[in-house]
Amino acid sequence: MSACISRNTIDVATQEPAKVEDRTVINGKALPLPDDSVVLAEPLTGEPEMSPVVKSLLADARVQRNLNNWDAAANALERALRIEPRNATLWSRLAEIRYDQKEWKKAIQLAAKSNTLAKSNENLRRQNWILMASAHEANGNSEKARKYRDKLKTY
Amino acid sequence: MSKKKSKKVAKKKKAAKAINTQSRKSKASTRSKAKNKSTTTSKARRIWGFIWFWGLRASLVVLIPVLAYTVYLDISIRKQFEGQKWALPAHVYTRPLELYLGQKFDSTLIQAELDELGYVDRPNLDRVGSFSATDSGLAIYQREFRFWDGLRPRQIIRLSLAGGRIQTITVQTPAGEVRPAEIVRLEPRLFGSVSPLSHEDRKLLRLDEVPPLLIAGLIANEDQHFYQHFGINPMGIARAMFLNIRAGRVVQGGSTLTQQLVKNYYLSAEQSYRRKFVEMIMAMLLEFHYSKDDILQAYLNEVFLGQAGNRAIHGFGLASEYFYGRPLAELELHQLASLVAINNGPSRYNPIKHPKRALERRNLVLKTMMSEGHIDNEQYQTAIASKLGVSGNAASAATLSYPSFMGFVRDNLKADYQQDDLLSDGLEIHTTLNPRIQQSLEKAVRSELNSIEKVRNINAGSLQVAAVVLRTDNGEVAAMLGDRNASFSGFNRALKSKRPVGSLLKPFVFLTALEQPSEYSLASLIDDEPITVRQKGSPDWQPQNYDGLPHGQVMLIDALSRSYNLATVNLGMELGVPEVAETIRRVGYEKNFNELPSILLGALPMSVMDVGQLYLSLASGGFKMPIKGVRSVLTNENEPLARYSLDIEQVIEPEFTTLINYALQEVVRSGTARSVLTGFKFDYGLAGKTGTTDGYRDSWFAGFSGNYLTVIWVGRDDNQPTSLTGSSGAAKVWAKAMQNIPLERLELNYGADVLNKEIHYSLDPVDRDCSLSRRLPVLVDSLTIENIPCNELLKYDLDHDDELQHFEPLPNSEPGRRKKKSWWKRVFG
Repeated sequence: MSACISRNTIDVATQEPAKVEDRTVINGKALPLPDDSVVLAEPLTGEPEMSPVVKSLLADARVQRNLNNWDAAANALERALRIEPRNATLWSRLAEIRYDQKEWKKAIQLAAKSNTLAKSNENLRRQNWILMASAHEANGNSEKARKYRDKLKTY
Repeated sequence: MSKKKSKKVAKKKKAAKAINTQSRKSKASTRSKAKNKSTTTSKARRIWGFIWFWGLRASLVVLIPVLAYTVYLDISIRKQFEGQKWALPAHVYTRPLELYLGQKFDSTLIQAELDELGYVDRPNLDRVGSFSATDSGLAIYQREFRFWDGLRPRQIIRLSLAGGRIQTITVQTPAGEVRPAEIVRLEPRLFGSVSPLSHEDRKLLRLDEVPPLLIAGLIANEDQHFYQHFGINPMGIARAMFLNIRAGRVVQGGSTLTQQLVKNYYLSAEQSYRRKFVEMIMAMLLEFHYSKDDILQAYLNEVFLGQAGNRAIHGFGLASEYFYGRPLAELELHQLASLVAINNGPSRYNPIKHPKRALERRNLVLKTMMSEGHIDNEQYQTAIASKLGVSGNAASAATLSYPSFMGFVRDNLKADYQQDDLLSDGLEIHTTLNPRIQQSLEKAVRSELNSIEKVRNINAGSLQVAAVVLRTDNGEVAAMLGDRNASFSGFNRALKSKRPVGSLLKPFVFLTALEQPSEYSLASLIDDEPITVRQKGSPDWQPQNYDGLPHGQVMLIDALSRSYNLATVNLGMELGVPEVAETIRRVGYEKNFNELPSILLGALPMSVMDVGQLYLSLASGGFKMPIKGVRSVLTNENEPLARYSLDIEQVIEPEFTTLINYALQEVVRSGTARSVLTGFKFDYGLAGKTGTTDGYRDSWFAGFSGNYLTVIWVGRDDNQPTSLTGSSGAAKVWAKAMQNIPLERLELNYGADVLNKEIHYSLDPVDRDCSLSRRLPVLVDSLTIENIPCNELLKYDLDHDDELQHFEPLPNSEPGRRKKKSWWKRVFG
């Protein structure tokens, strides 16, 4: 079966992400702090307008993500996306999974998609910008990273 | 691979050993016979010696080839038997149907799905594989199924409905515990297997998965001494010979199950004594090497039980699916007896073709089962009172094998897996195929092509088609058709037929323009005037409009929606062919092509999949993604192996996507494709483009709603004219297909950069009174461009920012609902 490696099977780095205690946490995810902008936490109620099915699949994804089961988490989110393809939160969560997997470019694209659908959801757009800035930084593109950090300051 | 190789080597060694043993045995017998010589007189001794000397040699001459042949048979029968264990074709499944809270409940859709899965309506839900439907709800006793993300045990799900939607869902576990759920799913349907070397298909069963009554019935009717004999049954053979001699022809075989198995391995119907002899030796060899259970299991999986098209149905597992549309374990006594009857003569007792004969034979099987004590009189009476119960639907569902889509899956997998793994490792392939959408597509193609041929006096059956339906949000193939005959498995036009796409490439010329917002907007005026394109080494090119007339200055959006060739070529030459080519490549066509001016009018041969890839980037709001046919792959042991994840890449900025999609909506609203709207009950904001090539050889339509993109090509295999334009051919098929697909409205992303502008214009180019006006989405960056008609009025707006409004997707909605907020504040505030 060694020949059966799919092109999309992701080679997850065995190394755990660095433990950082003093970072802002959004949805159980530690995000690197931007230079000076304040990260807005989501309201405790979660997603007020989420349908029950999407809520339930988001919860599944969260459980799997906390177990570092990236594929299972992504699977739950993609299942939800088949039901609500224009749900910006789902795209953003999928971006976070790719971020966890250090798939920086894929994470940025998914966050960009989320932003095209986020409309007036400022919180979500800010989360996506933070993620995009961090992913660009991790990917060695500090210029793009600065662009998104600047957005965080101006909006 | 290495495993297989070592297995083969081991077998060779065994074979070598077998040869050694045989030769030792023959030496020993020579020695023991030599002892006898000394006891006789010398004369007799000499005569005997002579006879012995030559007799031995003669017998050796005979014996050695016989032994060698036996060894050969031994090797080949064991190879066949062992081989059967590892040659497992890959199994291919449809997508599973999801059922969730708040979902619109479409009972015909769910009923169709349950039918294809072989679920039976049983109000008391007393066995797995049954369902019970009422006006207010649906309950299903589901089978066990291994999904990529986990095993779903047997369970009962109950849905309650309110207002046509699913209101509650509960799941009752095997332990009897009931819990609420938000989402459940039906298992996907197995619709094919990847085994291109032969057309044999089977669904392997372990012996413990086979109902004991089937085995009892089989043994009682075919080979009552199965557990006693050693491969052949001398009494049975004697009786058969007696009967055959009395009848003067072969009326009975007297074959044991082991012999029948051997016969099936070599599938020759030849009735000769030589074959019979070989069969007997092989049967004995099999019994020598393997247990009765091994042989029985092999038999149950191996035997040929029917033919469906070019697919040979082998084994009771697949036969059960084929004739009853359900797993073997769910069959009732009379159905099991029918399978035993079919096994006796697959074509003679075929219950679909010869129901009467099959019924008589079934009852005979049941009678034998009773007389052998396997069933009691009560069971017998119930069973013989039952109808044959072969569902025509189930049989046709089992033959729904979607050959075009299957070809695509095979191509997908070939890229990622070794051919050998696919053929032999029994991979479980979970695909994206949506049987309901496939059904809509097939139906649309059937009805529309027939009606087009009739209405237009085209030879019946001369039109061909290629079609694909994609999900706009993830690039999954929902349905595909590579031939107007949905079950044809030959040339797959959807993947392989490349035809010039004509006007389907125009949107990418216009997109290239719109991506320069300080130069072009949807309102920009374009020259629809004759143009001569000079190219080195080829004659001058003078494109023509479809109606043969130039239209003067036209707005960019109208040039696209009315598919004006002259305007497109003028614009394309202004932009530069390499720039347009670059857009085409970036948006999704990655193959090499010559950057000739003729590509502006689509002189580029593509398959419907190629076009699908290009339009997917528009339909998804500017994101390119790989077209997918496979979601995940599990191993033979149901271990998750690979998942094809959702990866996207932004290739068009959102605001430009909005503009081009708005123009493509205009094509349907008032342009060349307005005829497709006939028959749609709701306004789905459909967007699309027609395509017609020189001499009406190719009729194309590519179009999308919010959730599905469908690309259709109609034409002839011999590339002769069809007299069809894009809108009179492909668009008709497209409309019919889309009308039977659950669509969602296409919502354009009107971000803060897109303004709703009133554009003033006049039809008379001399007297520019600017008396007419229409609303169009215009980007902030385009407000100062010069070539917008009556642009002085546009500039006036700049000073009265209260006049400016953000664009709303529904221009006909009440004005009061529109946002009146200043765009200055929105953009800069």
